[in-house]
Amino acid sequence: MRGLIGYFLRSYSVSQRFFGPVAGIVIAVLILYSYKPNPVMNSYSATAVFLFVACAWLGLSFLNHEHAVQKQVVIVQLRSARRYSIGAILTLALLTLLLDLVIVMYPVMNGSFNEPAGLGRIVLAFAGHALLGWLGITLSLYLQSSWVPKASYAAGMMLILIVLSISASKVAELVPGPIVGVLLPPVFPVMDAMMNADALPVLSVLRTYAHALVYILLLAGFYIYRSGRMDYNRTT
Amino acid sequence: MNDISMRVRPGTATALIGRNGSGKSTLLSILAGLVRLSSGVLTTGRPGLTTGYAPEAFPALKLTAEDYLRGMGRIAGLCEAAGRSRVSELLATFGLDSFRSRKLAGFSKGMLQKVNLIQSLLIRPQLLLLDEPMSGLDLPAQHTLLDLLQELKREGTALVFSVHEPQIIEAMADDLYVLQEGQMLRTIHGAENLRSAPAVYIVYTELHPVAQQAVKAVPGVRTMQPAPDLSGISCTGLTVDQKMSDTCLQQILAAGGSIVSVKPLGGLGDLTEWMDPKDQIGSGRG
Repeated sequence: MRGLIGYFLRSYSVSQRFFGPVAGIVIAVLILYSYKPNPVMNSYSATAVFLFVACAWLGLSFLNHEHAVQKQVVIVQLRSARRYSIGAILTLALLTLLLDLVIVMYPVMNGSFNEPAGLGRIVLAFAGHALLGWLGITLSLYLQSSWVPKASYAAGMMLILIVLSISASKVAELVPGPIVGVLLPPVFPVMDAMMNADALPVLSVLRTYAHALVYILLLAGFYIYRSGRMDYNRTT
Repeated sequence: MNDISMRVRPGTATALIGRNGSGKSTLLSILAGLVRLSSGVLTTGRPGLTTGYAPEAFPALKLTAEDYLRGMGRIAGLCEAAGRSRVSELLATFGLDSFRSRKLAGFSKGMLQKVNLIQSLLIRPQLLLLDEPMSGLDLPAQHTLLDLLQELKREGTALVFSVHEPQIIEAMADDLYVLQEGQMLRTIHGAENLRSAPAVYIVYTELHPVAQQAVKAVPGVRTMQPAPDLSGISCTGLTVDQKMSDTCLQQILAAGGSIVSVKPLGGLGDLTEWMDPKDQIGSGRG
């Protein structure tokens, strides 16, 4: 698996498709912290949502960067389409953690907060960023070109999902019942928990994080299962 | 694809031929495990079968040849040292050594095909699937590939390839499958059945019955039958093994006969017809 992840990182970096999403999040974070001082968890909550959007974009660009014929070659070398999918997910998870680390540590190192962040809040922020980043990644799994061939449809659906996920509380007011809470990616609950982490009991924050983690695992698990049952004879 | 039945044995070469769109690439994709069967079964005799696959139209990636191939080696399970050594060996074999640090995006079609073949050969697979392997290759590279494939075959690798060039069939194939519109039109098993023994068809002016019998008695004569007349002169058509054709010609001339025509038969001449099957589905299978 290390060989596959190394190959993916090399192949993606030379494709330069990472530039858009990475530049986007870097600019957004720099703008956010251009004024000092900033409240700790409110700022982290905002950058976590930025990371969610950037990772959805990053995921799509990563999953679409490989030529369909080359994907066939790698699947045959690996002797498993599922292993290929697991490798792609792990690579994206690593990239997310890397961005997560930079985004969480930058304001601490730069002295952008109005008070010391503290280890507890840094750990909560790191976990919250990772979860929202991975949520963005899991959405992109289902919108890559081998699932949604038309790029404009995929981009449109992604935008709708992002907007609905972030504004889930408003959507829940319009759509009564548990549907919104169960179906929509739990971006808003994590964002809300991070924002109010100082006031909420730790258990409540962890419960929200666990909800997001289960959502991610279910979506990724189903994607890996389905990827083993698909045909890979496209050549474009 | 419908009604496909085939068996691939270790140490044999199986050729798939047919027109464009006949299903050769799809069949290779199925064997590679890239396409699932809607019905029927695909079984392997060995668990954990290692497969090499060189698809048609290999893409011009942005990686350098060496980075790409070493990456593929690691993915296939080669350790760093073994991968580096194997990649260097194969790059040198295919004459790409001086291009190892160049990006594939700048490669010609033939060079890309060489890289494609190299990635499929990195691990000496038990099953090697090649989709039009000769496509774009220069003559030395074609010979190199044939030598490599012969070596792998001797070592027990099962080869399956789609092909439009009779030379590779002549040099390698043990079994041949002719495909048309997703169906198997004809199957030929055994290299000896791929080509009939070379023969010669001689047309000559008819001889005295005694001399005719003497010619017919020559060893290697397969058939003797009347041939269309030549300006009112009766002619005979004689099919004889190539190695005895000179003897027959001498005997015919010595008996006062005149040679009208001499035409070689057999060999791989039938391949041309099989490679371009014309609406033969349902007309019988060999």
